[in-house]
Amino acid sequence: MSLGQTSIAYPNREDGALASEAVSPLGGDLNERSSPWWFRRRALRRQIFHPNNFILGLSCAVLAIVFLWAAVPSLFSPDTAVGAYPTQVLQPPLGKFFLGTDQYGRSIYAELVYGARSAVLIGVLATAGSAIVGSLMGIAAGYIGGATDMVIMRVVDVLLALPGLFLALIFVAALPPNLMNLIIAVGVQGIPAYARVLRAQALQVRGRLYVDAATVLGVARWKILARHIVPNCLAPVLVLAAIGFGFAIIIGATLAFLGLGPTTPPLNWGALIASGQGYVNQDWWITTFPGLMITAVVIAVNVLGDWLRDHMEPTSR
Amino acid sequence: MLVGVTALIFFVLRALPGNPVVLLTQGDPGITQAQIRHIEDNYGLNKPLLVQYGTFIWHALQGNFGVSYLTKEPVMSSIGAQAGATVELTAAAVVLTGVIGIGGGLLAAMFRDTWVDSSLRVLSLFGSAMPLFWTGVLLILVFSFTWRLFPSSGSGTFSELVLPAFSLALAGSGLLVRLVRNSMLDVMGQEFVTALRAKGLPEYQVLVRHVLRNALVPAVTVLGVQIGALLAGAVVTETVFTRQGLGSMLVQAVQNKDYPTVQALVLIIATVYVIVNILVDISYAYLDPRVRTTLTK
Amino acid sequence: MTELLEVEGLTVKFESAAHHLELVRDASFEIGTGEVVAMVGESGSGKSITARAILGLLRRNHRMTVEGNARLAGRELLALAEAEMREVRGRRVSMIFQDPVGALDPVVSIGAQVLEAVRRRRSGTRPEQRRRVIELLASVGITDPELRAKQFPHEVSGGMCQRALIAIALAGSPELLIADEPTTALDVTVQAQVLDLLKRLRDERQMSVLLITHDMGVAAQTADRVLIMYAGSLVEQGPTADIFGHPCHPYTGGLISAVPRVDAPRSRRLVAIPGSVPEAADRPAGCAFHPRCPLADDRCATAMPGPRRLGNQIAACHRAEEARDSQVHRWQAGPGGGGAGRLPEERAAL
Repeated sequence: MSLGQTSIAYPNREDGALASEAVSPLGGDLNERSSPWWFRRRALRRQIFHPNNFILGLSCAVLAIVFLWAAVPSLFSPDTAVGAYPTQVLQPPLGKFFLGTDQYGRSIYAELVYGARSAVLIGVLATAGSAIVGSLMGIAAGYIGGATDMVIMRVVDVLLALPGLFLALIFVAALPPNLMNLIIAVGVQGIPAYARVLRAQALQVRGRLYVDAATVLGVARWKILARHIVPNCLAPVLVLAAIGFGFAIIIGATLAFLGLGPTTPPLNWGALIASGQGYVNQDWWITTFPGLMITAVVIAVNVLGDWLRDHMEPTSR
Repeated sequence: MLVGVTALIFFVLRALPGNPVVLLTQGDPGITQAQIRHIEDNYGLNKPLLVQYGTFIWHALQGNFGVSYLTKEPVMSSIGAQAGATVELTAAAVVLTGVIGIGGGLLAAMFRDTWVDSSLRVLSLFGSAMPLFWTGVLLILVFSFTWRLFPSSGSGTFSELVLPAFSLALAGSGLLVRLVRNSMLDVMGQEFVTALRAKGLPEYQVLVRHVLRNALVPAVTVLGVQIGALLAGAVVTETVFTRQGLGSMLVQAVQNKDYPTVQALVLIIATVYVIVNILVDISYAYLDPRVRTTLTK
Repeated sequence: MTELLEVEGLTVKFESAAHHLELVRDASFEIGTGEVVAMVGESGSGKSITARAILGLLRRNHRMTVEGNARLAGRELLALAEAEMREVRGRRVSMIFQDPVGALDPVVSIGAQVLEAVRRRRSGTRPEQRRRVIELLASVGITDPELRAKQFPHEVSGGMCQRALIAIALAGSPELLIADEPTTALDVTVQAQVLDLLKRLRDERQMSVLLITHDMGVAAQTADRVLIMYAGSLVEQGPTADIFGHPCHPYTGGLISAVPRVDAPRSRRLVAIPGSVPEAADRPAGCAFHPRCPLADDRCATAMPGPRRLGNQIAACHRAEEARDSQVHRWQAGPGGGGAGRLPEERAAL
């Protein structure tokens, strides 16, 4: 499906095709977006205050804060760790504690700050893991071909035969509950997407003349791969990774919510929601704020992913 | 492909650490070697792994997935008892997803670039970004406790189905709304739509009978993939709303390392998922005569 | 001859943040009952926009504004509400399109699409309506109409699709048929068949036809009168014989010279018009054609020429008389004198 095919030269298209402009998930006038860069520069000044850019900026800000929380939580929280104040249980927000406290008297805000590390670790490591493994599998399948291709793609088919959460569940069931294993479980379900995209890309690149030329000239195989295939595949991998990052955080939080995550710290936003679920009747803040955090992060990476797609793969739209 | 799935499940579960015997005896420290051997004999755990796998496949084909480590009951009979609730939930969610997704997409395309369009766009973005379990908790918060419209838990009556199905559908329809909207707009840019208007057809006929029908072809693919996501979502939703069903059964089995149950459940879900995707492929032929032509050739 | 459609000062503007364009400027013309009028121009000259403006098919895009008048048998079309316009479309004015396969819904059978048009008349029982579909398909020269009705657009040829579209257009017995480049996408032999079909329908039904084309050969072969459009303006109009015999606008002359002819001396070279049509965004001041015009002078670069009547023709050119008298196109009037009867029969593209 082509999402946007209108060029700026619309007036000479006499048909009603003006109605089929490009469509972005966040709206705005897309004729500018699909226009060549030299045209966009002129429009840049006008675009800075465009809602799209505001949302993009906000997304970057959300991600920056969460990464900072994950890196140095003690800077953002009065406590060096999430301390419990047994006399202050279930305090509503905007009192002594900005976002209130939970049933153990822990500050929700501090829990959010200290929970960021788990989310970021799962997001980054699981995504990186599945991107690397999946990409290598895809490139190997596409570039080597033959039996290797067949075996690898059968494995990918098997992974695809199960919805992502189930795949993660199997690994969680088999492995002892700690953060590393949670990351592995989340990472495995991400592999097939990269493998498929990269295989298609590698096949495409392999068919191009300049790769033939390099082979004829006697360039080593790995050099051809490094020189020609890897740079061509970078853009789609980055876009997939942005979307995969959000998905990994959701799956990680879901497993933690189901009580299948690590039993020891760091805290996880999903586990917070699980522990607050029993109090949702009166004390809504325990479950609401961690959920908002997850949602904000996921929306932020999706916005970033859309932006990446628009700017790195102009032909794919 | 399903054979691959069985292998994956079996070997991942067996090859990785965690001794079933320990689980079967609930880690009783006073257990003797003779007792362990007896248990291993009973469950066939002392045979080579490949033989165990062969036995598993052979029994699975006969619908026998062994005995639960936890309840000591045949896995198949517990699955039979729980399946109904999950089928009910997933079916309701699929219907709701379709209605919300297609209806929302239609509205967004009809009123594109108006407040209707932009609010649907924001809603669908939230729908797909909110973790499902949190959506469930929020729905309970709003509809069970604040407004007291629907019960927060249980499975059986219709009103107990509303919130779980709705939370699943919210997550599933976000993507569908955007897809239907975009493919509707794509179709609306095609010449035949102008031709239909030139023919003097009323706008609603143009949109529903022609544009929507063309736009449904890509939408059905996504709905097929979404059914997989809805099945996975049932695990979460059943837990949040403390419903009976295969999902909560799976979570318990995973928590207790009850491998026969996990194997059986995952295999069944994979089978359903594969069948659904085949059905989706068949439905193309119904929706798109061009596919029908290539099939008959 | 009574005038069926009178268009006066039709102007279509496109407004966006970056552009304020006049896609069609001040076009005025008439179509008589039972007359075939060809509108000729290069792509981008505003022909299709004009046609769609008349049928109210541009209104859906909020950035297009249509000004001027278009009266169908005295009734103003451009002021009609959408519901009233719908009654006009398909029943009084029909339209067929350039890409016949793309103008049919790919997932609905041909018969069902014709049936939709038949059903708009709200008369007859279902079986009667079905019979009417088959009759219509047969009347546009579709063999084995029962079978074709069951088929889908991708299963039949482009020519067959165009016939089906014509059948749809005829379902409401319109007084005017707008044919937007109906033969461009078709093979040469099929082109001739479709044009013959249009002429036959005109004769049988006294239906007027507005034939939009970029092909002077098609215009010469089919039309009673010709309108020449350039960069959004009507630059010349008149009876076919006069237009081809002594064009009063240099652009028309250029178009005619660019038509290859079998009976021309071998030594004659095809004359291409230098340059290309300016886009609506960067039309030159004055006469839009002046940068490409061999006769252009200072006045042409500054003042936009209005339409003037010269004999049977109307031309928008400061130097129309010179253009006519210079007879650059003398070769047109071969032995026996020029005229519609002697115009090129072969396919001629610009």
